[in-house]
Amino acid sequence: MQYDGYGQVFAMTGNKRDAIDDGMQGKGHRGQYGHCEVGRSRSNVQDTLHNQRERDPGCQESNREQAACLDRIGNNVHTNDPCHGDDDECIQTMSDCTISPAEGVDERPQQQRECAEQKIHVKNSLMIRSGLALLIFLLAMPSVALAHGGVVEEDDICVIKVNYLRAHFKVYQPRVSGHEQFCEDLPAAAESVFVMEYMHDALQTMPIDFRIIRDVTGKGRFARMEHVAAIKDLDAVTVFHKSAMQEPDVFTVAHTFAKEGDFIGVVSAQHPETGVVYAAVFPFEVGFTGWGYWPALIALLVLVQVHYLVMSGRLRRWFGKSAPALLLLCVAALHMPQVAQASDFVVTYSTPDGPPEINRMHSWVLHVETAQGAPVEGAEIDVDGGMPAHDHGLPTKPRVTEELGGGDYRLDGVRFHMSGYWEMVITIRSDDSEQTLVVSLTL
Amino acid sequence: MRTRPITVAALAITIATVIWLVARWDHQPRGWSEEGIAVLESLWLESLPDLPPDPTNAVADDPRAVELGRRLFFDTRFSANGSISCATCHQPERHFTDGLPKGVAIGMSKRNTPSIVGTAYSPWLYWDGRRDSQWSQALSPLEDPNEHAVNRLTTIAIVVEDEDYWRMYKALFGEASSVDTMFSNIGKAIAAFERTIMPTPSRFDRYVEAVVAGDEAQQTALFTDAEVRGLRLFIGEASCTQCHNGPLLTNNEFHNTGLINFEGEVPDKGRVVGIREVLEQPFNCRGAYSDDPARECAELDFARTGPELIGAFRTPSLRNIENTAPYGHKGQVATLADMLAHYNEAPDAMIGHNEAKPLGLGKRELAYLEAFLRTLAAPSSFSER
Repeated sequence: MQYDGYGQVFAMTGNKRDAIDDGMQGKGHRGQYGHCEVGRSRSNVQDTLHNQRERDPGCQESNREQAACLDRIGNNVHTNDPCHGDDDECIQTMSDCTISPAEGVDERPQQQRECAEQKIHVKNSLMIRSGLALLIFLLAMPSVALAHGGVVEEDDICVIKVNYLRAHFKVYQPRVSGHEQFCEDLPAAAESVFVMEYMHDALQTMPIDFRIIRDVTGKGRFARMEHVAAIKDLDAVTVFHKSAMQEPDVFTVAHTFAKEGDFIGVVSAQHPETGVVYAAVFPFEVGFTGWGYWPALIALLVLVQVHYLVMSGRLRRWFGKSAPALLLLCVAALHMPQVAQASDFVVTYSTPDGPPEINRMHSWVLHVETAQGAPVEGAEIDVDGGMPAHDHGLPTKPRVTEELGGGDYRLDGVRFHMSGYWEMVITIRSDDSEQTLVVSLTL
Repeated sequence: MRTRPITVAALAITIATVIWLVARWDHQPRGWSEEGIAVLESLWLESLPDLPPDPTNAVADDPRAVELGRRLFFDTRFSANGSISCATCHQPERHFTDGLPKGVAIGMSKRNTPSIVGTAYSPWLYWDGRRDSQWSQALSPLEDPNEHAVNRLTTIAIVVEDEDYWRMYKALFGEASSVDTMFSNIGKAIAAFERTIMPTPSRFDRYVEAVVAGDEAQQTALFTDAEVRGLRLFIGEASCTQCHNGPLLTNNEFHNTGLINFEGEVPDKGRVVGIREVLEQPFNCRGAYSDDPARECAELDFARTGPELIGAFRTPSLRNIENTAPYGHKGQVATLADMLAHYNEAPDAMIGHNEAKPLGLGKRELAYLEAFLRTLAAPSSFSER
């Protein structure tokens, strides 16, 4: 078996949704609704809709992430609308950003990077603050780098890296800790459910082998693949093994630890084409005693920083001066069409079987015309949709089944299964131009 | 003297607070707005539309098939040990469930036994919707090693060798044909019976009737204050009708509600796997055994797939909910109060994403909701000829 490098589990503080969205590339509902969708040209319908989105918590969160990201890059934008009055979150977000460059991968959405690049003006005013944040990061760093899970908190995200393949990694001990998530170290010798939510689609098609061994390497937190590979009889020290299996949606295994102790998890995934096996190793402890003094120290530092910010009047200044500027900037970025369009489409719909009602599959007739009012024929139309407030899509996958002529298209398979606010996201491609429009309706 | 204005102000604030609290306390919801009445009517059993036809089952509404199906449903010969029938897990007196976390027949089944009541209205069967008709669903437990644990040949042999069954079968489907056709015909007869299994009006339905008629005395006689408050929460703040809507109090769709795993098992992936299975299933709407010559299978044609369905399960009907404990796809939740507490908290899902949002209701409000849910108790009806 050839191992091509090895990965590690590391914990990353920061916004869970942010990280998952980036990785999952719009696989889930959040990919669709989590961001403010700047990469699209907009119609009036969508602009109106956009206002709606800004009221939507998901969108606000996205805005917050944007602003937080500006902050992370090391610029002087101190509107801190994401952070004011919530310094704990602010610190976490900064740590997150500090980690990203360290890993050499900037996976932030395009819009965030662009938004950030426009405002890179380092000023001394931030230096102290950044310094503090960096200090906190550095203090937290040993536990991060050593895969000790030293930053496990409720809103953290734990990531397993199997070479370049990443997955959101979490462990539950449902019988003793309910829905609480753990990154690695587990409080009790109990039933433990290991979950990997893929951030790379490739993992869906790769057979994944999962093994837990007793730590006999003597390396503790520093155990790496070579140490595991050096173990002569791996099976003798194995406490749990699930042999390579393809799990297309999400990877889960359950194991009940009979006793406390130090363990090493070994995850390997075989590339279906090259046959190369990628592996990750994560040492962990079952029945660990706690976090020691780290949380207290971090809390103290946060307090010191809050105190500094309040005393210096900085908080008020950020609030007062820069907030509108940043808001304006981000709003401008959000509304900026990314692709020049020869023409804008206008879509209207009608429902020949009577007004839409819940739990009934029905058809729509979409009428597509240009902004000048000329019907658009021969267009390719994709339709998706969902309820932003509930983070879910349509229960069905409607599609255009027939072009009726005169810019009319029959859309079959539409069903809404809840009353409330719905959006239908309609993508129209015609003569090399493409546009996404959103039609909203309330049932 | 200097403290006097403060004293006066404090007194004023106290009085105002007391008045506000009393006003709030005494605020008894009386009467329903037009909008509220419309919502109540939408949940009323009286609003249940006619049974939708099942074009994939030619004998769906044939009384002879209902009779054959009823007898098959209660016949324990269709099992490896001769003691298991459909009714072993789907017990009529328990709203066609079994009161267990997971069904127990020849072995233990993988999930909680779902009720059959009103499933003729559902495009999908099972918690994960891995079947798209009652008849194709009825076939599956027969061959499940943990349920009836027989096979299709044995099933057909029992029918052919039983004089009554064989006469009834031939009258409906004609002479013997291929194994799979005969097997599917047996499922279609069982489904014809299952189509008759329906809820009966509950106290809630009588209350709605009183509301629609504007009969306040009757309303007061039927519903306590707590129940009215619970109903208001149910259609309002608690957002229950987002999924539990329509007269059967289900949208028959799939949602991840973040329930915890069953002890010793990995979290159930639910619909994301079920949709794959139903699309490939030989007894589905598109398959060779469907009686619909047009093969109009809109549900399959427009079915949604994808990661959003990880850990999602079909919304169960709340009709007679009180008598269908335990709850959840694995029967993980023992009581109604526990289930309401779970929705109130809406924790992160172990896999996928919990669609529910924390409700932030107080204990008293949860108790109101529970009181309301108990008004949905009513036995089910079915063909008992």
